[in-house]
Amino acid sequence: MGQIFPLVSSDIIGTMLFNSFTYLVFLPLVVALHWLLPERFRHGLLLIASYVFYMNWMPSYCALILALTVGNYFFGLAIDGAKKNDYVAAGGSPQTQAASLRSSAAKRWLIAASVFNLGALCVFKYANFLVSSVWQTLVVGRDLVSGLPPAATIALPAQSPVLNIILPLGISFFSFEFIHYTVDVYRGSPPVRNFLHFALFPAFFPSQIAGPIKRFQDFTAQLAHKSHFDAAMFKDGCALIFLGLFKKTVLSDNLGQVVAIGFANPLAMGAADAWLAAIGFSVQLYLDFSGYTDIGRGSAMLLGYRLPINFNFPYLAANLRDFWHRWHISLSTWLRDYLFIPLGGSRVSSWKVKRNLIITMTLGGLWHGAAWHYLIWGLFHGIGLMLTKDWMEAVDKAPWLQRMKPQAWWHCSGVVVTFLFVCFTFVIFRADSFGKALQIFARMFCAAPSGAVVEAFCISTLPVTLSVYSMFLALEKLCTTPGLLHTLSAPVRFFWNGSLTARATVYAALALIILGFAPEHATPFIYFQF
Amino acid sequence: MITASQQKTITKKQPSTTPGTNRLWWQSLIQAAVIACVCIAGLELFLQAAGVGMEEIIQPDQTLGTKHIPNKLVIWRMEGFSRGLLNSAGMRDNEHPIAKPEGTFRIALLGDSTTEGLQVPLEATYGAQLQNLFHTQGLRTEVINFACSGYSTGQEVLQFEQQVAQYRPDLTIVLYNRDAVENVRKPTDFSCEPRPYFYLDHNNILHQDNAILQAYESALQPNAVQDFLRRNSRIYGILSHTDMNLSIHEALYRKLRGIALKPFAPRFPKLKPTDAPYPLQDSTAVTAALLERLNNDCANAHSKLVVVAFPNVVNDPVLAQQIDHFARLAQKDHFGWFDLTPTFRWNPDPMSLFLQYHFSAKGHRIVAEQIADYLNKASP
Repeated sequence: MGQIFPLVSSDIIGTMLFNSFTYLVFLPLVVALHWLLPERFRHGLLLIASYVFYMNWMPSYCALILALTVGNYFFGLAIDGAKKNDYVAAGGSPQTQAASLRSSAAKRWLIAASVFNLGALCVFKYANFLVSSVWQTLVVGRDLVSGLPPAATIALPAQSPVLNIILPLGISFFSFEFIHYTVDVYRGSPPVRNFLHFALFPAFFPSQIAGPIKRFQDFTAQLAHKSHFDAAMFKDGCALIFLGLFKKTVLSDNLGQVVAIGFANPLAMGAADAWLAAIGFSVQLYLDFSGYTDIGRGSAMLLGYRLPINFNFPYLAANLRDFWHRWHISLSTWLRDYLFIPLGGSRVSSWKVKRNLIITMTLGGLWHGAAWHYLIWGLFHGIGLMLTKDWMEAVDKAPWLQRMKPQAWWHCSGVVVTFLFVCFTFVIFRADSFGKALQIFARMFCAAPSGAVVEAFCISTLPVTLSVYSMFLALEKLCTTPGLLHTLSAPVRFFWNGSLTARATVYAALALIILGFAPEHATPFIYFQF
Repeated sequence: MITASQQKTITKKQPSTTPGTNRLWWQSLIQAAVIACVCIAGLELFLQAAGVGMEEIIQPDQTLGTKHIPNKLVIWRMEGFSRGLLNSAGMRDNEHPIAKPEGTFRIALLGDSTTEGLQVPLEATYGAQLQNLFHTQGLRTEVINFACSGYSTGQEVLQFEQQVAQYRPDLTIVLYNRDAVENVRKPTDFSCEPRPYFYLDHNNILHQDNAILQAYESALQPNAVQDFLRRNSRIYGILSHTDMNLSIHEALYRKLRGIALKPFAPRFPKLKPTDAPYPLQDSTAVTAALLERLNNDCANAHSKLVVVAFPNVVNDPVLAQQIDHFARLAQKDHFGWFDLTPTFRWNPDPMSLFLQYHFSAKGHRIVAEQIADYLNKASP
């Protein structure tokens, strides 16, 4: 299997990527069959297609999704059943409803479901990390007691033992979807009784590998409705797919090549290189992930489904709290609903709120990957959110700061500071280790002249494509907000919406641009590894 | 509520909508044509400004299979980056007159993409660096780079006979880069690239197999429209490049392409192994015979031949065996030979000498220094 636009064989990657030639054949085939088949067969087709999509990577791991699906299906029914039993046993009065929510049987089922889901996640994602961390701790401990006689010290292998476990694609995403399901059923949502609908919830291929993390209530409600072909939705879906491919192949993959030069050899970078690598990676990550989400959402729209949005111009956020309302929205809302709020949320004492923020963000960091630098990245964001909270409270208390708040420069400086903080923390996220991240930070403030990263950026197509993309965003914004350009662009928008020829031609041109500007070798989507 | 009179009016009006529909159909067609033309023109201009879609360097050739497009502006973005014009004779080099300037030692370089070096600027290729090294030593030397992407040893031999010999080089250097397998084909297999192939008969006499070239004869003939697009259209460049890459990397694409193009593909006879015109060939033996032929051609053109072996840094056993074989052949046939493997292996950072498959600028410099060193030692 191979990537079409970046033109690298996915034999290397082994999965059907959204930017692969195989997906270009697969998606239209599934869409055509979906709309040609009678209504009653469509969900079955989507489930089969989703499993085929996953099996393309590693067929045996389909059993894992299936096992988790079956397990959670029954957990959902069991939680609901236990709650109903307690409710009936308690006489069924409204007062006992709340008590039934805290039913011990339902709680036991919820704990079992959480252990089941988190256990799978821990075994497949964190087992090696835990083993190596324990090994490192033992090595440090042994070194500390090296003065003792040999018999008293621990005999350890020379290298950390490695368990032969391959991380199943998308496990972090569908584990979180299952946790959300069981917790929401426990909190009172009715469980999904149609197994086909439930099986499609985690497996749905447009969101299977890297989200967005769906909410079952929204998704199954769409499944329950009779699906009708919606031309407007189809058009929007096509536009999103093209936009996503452009972001991924033309911008993110080219940026990735430039950034990789810097991160591969931090000590060879000058200050300009280090800044370019840091900012470049932040932009690359956004374009890569939002590109993936656009293609996923677009693919779902071709099939008549809507997936939640995941990004809302995150680098225009005026503070870190605002950033997390705009970045990976489906994850941040999940963390809020299923971690931050159960910990007490913000309705507890100030220091407890700060503690909750740090725990939530640190675990959120660890969710991204089983490595210390992800944990540190999350910790920094927790501290950042904590400081943001303090700062906002200080601003609210100081009238002279309050007066400045509505001014444009205040907002702009907030955007710049937030962006720089995010860029700095993404260096920790991207670097192989915290030590390497520190080397990059040091290069940002050294006096060395620019080198390979700046040169690679200048000879690449990025100066042209990033300018074109920025112009597109600015024009889109101006044309959709009331004003002169909105009025002037009305005929163009009317023509665009009404003319199939215009759209087909523009999409063909866009496809050519994507093919022409894509680098020879592309990387898989960054969030696939999480 | 629609009144009866309104109903009548609607009914009456119905026939008149047919010409309207016709007009719309024509309007749509004109609209489509106008949008397509504007889009193509705009896209060509945009791609030209951005320097994209200009990696098309090859055109079909009836005798060699492929050759460079003369005077083509190339902006190369694969593995590395370079920008420049192929010269009027189709070389990735500056202009060189056929007549050798008086008192100049002329060196011809033959090879594939490794020698062509489009991944680095022209002045960083080992050919250009070799010329500079000799100039700094005060020697009037002219190095001409005839190398072309994808060439096999067989194509290089034919290129020498057809083109290089008339430049009367004093020295001919061939960089051998694992291409023995491209000199031969399975005699019953017609699914290979259109290029000349070679085989040895029972008496070990070398023959040329033009069956594939003949099968593609019509496709290899000059085509004015395609030639124009190949030279000038960036859109054509992107499509051709995509087709090539997908054909290389994508099994599914190859299959679908094969099905789609089956009606237009040349028809080959289905041969049983017993019907094969010649037996299965040992590619190393055929390549050795080709090097012998090139050595003879060089001698006839009053040129010396030096074969340089591509560095076997990954310990490829096939290449190692070929290097041994050709080294013995060089001793027997008295042509120059040296192997880049030790220099590359002993380098403290061998990976920095390559981009991915091709030499980096540093790798090119090492090759140039090694060749200069060898030549200085061979004829001080």
